[in-house]
Amino acid sequence: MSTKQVVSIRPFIRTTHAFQKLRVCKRCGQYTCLWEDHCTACGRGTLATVEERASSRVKRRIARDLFITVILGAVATYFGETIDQTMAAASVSLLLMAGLIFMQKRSFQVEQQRELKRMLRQDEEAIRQGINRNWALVAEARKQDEALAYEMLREIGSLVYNDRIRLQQVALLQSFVLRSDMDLQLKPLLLRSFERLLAEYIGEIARLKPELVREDAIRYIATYEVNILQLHNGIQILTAVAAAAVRKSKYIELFPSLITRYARFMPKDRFMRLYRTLELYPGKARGGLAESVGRVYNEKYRDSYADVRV
Amino acid sequence: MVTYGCLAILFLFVIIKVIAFLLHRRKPVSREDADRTLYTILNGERD
Repeated sequence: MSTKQVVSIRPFIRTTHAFQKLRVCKRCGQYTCLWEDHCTACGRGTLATVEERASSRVKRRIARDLFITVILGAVATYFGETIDQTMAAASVSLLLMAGLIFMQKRSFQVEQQRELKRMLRQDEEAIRQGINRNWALVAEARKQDEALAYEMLREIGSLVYNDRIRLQQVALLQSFVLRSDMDLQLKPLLLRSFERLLAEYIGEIARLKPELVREDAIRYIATYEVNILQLHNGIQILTAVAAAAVRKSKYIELFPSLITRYARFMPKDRFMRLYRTLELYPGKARGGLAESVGRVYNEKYRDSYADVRV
Repeated sequence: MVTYGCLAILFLFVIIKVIAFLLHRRKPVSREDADRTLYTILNGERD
């Protein structure tokens, strides 16, 4: 009996840059990559993106420089001994200030990026602590809402490349009833070693969203084929992945032996796609793939196709 | 005398700031650099 939960997972918000996921509390300096409204450390609603924080730091520096300029200009003007000297001091001060403002405006973007990088370097430890705190919150969330815990792990996993986070995500995903309308991902979850849950997850993805099964996922399955065959549904996983691989002629060329071994078990439409691809591009078939596919075609489908064509 | 002194300091201050801005503009930090820095902080040099 299946013990999988029916859940709904919110779509993952993809950002152009990784640092756009990161926010920092303006009060206590706590970093987070989650979406909470209030800082989990001080409880205040003062979270800002790191870009906003860098901008405000640059603006503060600009204001400080202008203040120094104004003070020096004012002192120079005040202590002018003659009217001419006072006027000249005021004019020069204004001119220098205008030049400074012009350069500050022109360099704002450059300075902001520079400040962002400097800020990240300065707050290295705080960033690590913030992400660790986020990770600790996942454990609490998992007790009440596993879908929420998965969403939190997905956010953390977009910044931290860590097999433990990946495995936790896969374990949670395998406890859900997956649907093709869910915002699922595969590439960021691939592990360095064999893991049964991941193999099963790839098999499920290959059936639900074959477009997510790309070269690295097929390579993972091909590498651990022997381990997967020992699973109770190993053949189904391998067949599903081989069937997903025939989507592109590139994968047929890259993984001929995997496809050769499981072509026989593929659904008819997938097999016929493979057959037609090999007919169109005979050069893509390596390692006896064409012979094997031809043999299966003759055994299983030749007669039915001959009937339809007659 | 104070006027000249203050103006000299102001002039030097503005010049130093402008040179710094110009140098920063010649070697700008890209958003990808910031990304790399963040990934290095969180994942080490390897990733």
